[in-house]
Amino acid sequence: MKMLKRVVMLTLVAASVGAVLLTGCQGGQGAAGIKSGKGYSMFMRSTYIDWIKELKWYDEAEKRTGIHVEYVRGPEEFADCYSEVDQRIISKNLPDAVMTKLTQTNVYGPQGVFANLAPYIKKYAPNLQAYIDANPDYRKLVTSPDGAIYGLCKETPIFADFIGYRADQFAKAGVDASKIKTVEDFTDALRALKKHFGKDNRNYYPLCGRDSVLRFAAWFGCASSISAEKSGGVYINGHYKDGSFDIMNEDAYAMMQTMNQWYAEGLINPEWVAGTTSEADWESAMLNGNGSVFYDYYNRAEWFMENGGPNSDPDYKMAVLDFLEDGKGNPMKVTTSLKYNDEVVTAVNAKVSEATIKAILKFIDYFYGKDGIILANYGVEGQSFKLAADGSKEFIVDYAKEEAAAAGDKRWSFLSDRLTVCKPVDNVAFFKWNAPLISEAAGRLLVDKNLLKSYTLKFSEADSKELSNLVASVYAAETAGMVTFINGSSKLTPKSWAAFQDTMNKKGLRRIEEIQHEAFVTTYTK
Amino acid sequence: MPSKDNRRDGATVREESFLRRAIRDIGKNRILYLLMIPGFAMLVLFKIGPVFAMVISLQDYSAAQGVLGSRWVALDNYIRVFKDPYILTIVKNTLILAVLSIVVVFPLPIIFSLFLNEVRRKWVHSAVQALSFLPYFISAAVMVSITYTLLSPSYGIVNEVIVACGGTAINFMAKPSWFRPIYVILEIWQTFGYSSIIYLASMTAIDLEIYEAAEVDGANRWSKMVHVTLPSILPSVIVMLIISVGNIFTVNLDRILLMYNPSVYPTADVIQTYVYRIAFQSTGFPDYSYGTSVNVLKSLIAFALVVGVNKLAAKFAETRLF
Repeated sequence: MKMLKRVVMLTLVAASVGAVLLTGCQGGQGAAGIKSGKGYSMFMRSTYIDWIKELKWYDEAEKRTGIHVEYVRGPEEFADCYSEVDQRIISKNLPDAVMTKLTQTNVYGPQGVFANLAPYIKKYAPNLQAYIDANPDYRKLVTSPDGAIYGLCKETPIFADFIGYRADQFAKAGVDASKIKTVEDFTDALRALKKHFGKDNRNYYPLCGRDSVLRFAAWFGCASSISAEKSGGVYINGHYKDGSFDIMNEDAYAMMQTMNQWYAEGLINPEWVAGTTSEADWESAMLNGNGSVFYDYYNRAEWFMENGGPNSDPDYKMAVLDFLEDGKGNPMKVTTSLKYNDEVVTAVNAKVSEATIKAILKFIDYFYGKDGIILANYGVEGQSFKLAADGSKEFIVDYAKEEAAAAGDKRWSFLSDRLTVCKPVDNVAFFKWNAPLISEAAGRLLVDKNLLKSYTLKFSEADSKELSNLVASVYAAETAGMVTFINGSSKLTPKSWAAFQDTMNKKGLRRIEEIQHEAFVTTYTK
Repeated sequence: MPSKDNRRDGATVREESFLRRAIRDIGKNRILYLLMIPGFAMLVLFKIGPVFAMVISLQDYSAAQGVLGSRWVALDNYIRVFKDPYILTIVKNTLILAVLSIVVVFPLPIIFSLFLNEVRRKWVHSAVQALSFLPYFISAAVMVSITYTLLSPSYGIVNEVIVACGGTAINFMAKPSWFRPIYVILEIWQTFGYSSIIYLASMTAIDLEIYEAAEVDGANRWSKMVHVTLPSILPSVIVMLIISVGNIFTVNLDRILLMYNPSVYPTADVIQTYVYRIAFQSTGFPDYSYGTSVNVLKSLIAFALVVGVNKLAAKFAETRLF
């Protein structure tokens, strides 16, 4: 009897361990979704889901369409999201729809993971079909060689980084911002600021920022580029805008000289150059007076005004500088966001029923129709906007008040740079939905003469893999090398720069440019 | 001389008797075998099973097509590894970190535990042991944050002292030459307490009569430590050394990623960070097969090193792990 008890106990223990193991092996949500055809499940980056849940217009869209989306939370980091898509494919655990990237839909679509939406768009989404027909660049991008559409790219507002500065500090240091036209003027302004604020503060560096310090290439005319003729520098993975540079461009040497000068004179935060500062360090430097100028996301100047600036200094005042010019008065065009974001693509699980595909496309299609465009960009008439006498729409809700709502609270918000639903973007509405400081700057600066055009590139599977591997080693090596030239640990001379260029080409930079150029020609000229 | 047939018959007889013995043994010790099932299941599911997944290094693996459906490419990925111009840099960086870890980090817990063993006051012994063990539970993120704070050129206490002494602040975390020393110091800080517990446990098993005999022979405390304690814990030291050598290519990825910045790429980029970038931080389509090939090669070299050290240990120290 005693032995029997022991056996039973041990069996229970073994069974429990087995159950725990099996539970651990089980996935989350399956592909079952919502069967009624009145909704669907969608895997998405968790941050986007949190934002969607705060949007009043989104709730209204679900009410109007009668379609509910059950979101499946993904990781916060984009790269982790794409990895999870892979894992869900492996474990056959894809929800009805997923946020993925174009390279994944291009490869997994033909392999049977994602549904070919082309026939269903024709059948169920007339507004979306009209949009595709009216935008040949978009059609080329989302259509595979056999005519299938495995994923829909998100449209994004076109914007560039702005040069935000502490207007109050400029005034105190006797710097006239309107006189800053060229990089030389900008450097002189930094010197004046350093002289004024740096004399008693060893931690004061006028130019500061976050992420990569290699963000000024466009000011020198050496941003990475792509055209039917050639490709310069690493262009993919967001480097058409952030971290954009082309070391083979003849102006890149001048950029290195200037940045080295900034570093040597203490005009740029050395910890930022080194890459050892966090975003919070930058924010605190801008708030506590240890920094005066940055070149960052378009609405960051307003962010500092709303997030403690005037509390830390009653004189605190941010402003946005004009973009710089070359010595002849020509604007130095700046890098911009992509119109079609290949990293935020909506794809549909090939295993879902036609009813579910219909629900997904009906929901998306609503946002390509007249009512949906107004709803997603302005909200509801009488609640968030009104029609002016000339027929234009004016927001009647306050941007600052709405955006200051506590996390999780419902609000009117129209920040279309985030993914909500795959939908077209009204650029005018996007910039209207900002504080006066940013709206004014956007109207003044975001004009064609100031902006470089960015292109989304489409690669074959083999090219995409080769490119990924090359970029993994080359971009890191380029960044590391340039930082050593800026901080002076490598002496910058024409000879050492040429040797650096040569090393990077040997590591694979030239091959990267070849693949990118080939993709451009295939995507846009054939 | 027995005929071939006779030999086969003999083998069959031996096989049957083995089977019968095995069945009898399982029947006799069924409780023990039952207890073994969860552990064995874990071993198969999470250790042995994934080894077979390494077959994707011989494929052009696609998550959609799976191991059975993906295209076979023979040794193409391995050939690519040897042709990759960046491989030499990352292998060099990995090896330097690994060798530093063994040469600098490995002996310290041995020395520490030898001295701690000599502490006679029990509460001092326990307190030091507990304090040294504490960092083992600190996560890499917290540990690196503390390091950043201590070494910050703007407000870090180390640089405050340097500046107060008339020096210039140093951005330690941005100097490629400082990356390895800082990594090794953090490795020591985090692991030496844990490792020393293993040696201290071995020391408790040493027969006290040996010490008494040494005392009779006139040995002082130093002599007893060198000639009694150290040789007695040698099997544990060898086992730990073999494990360390087995992990020679396995640097602490979390710590490196947290300490990683463009300034230290020349010394901080190692095999794991490279594989991580290819497979999980891919700029385009992830190349799982190539990443796996790099890792398989890494594992094979580590395995060869473990076997080599094991043989050397058997030959020179008369002890071995397997």
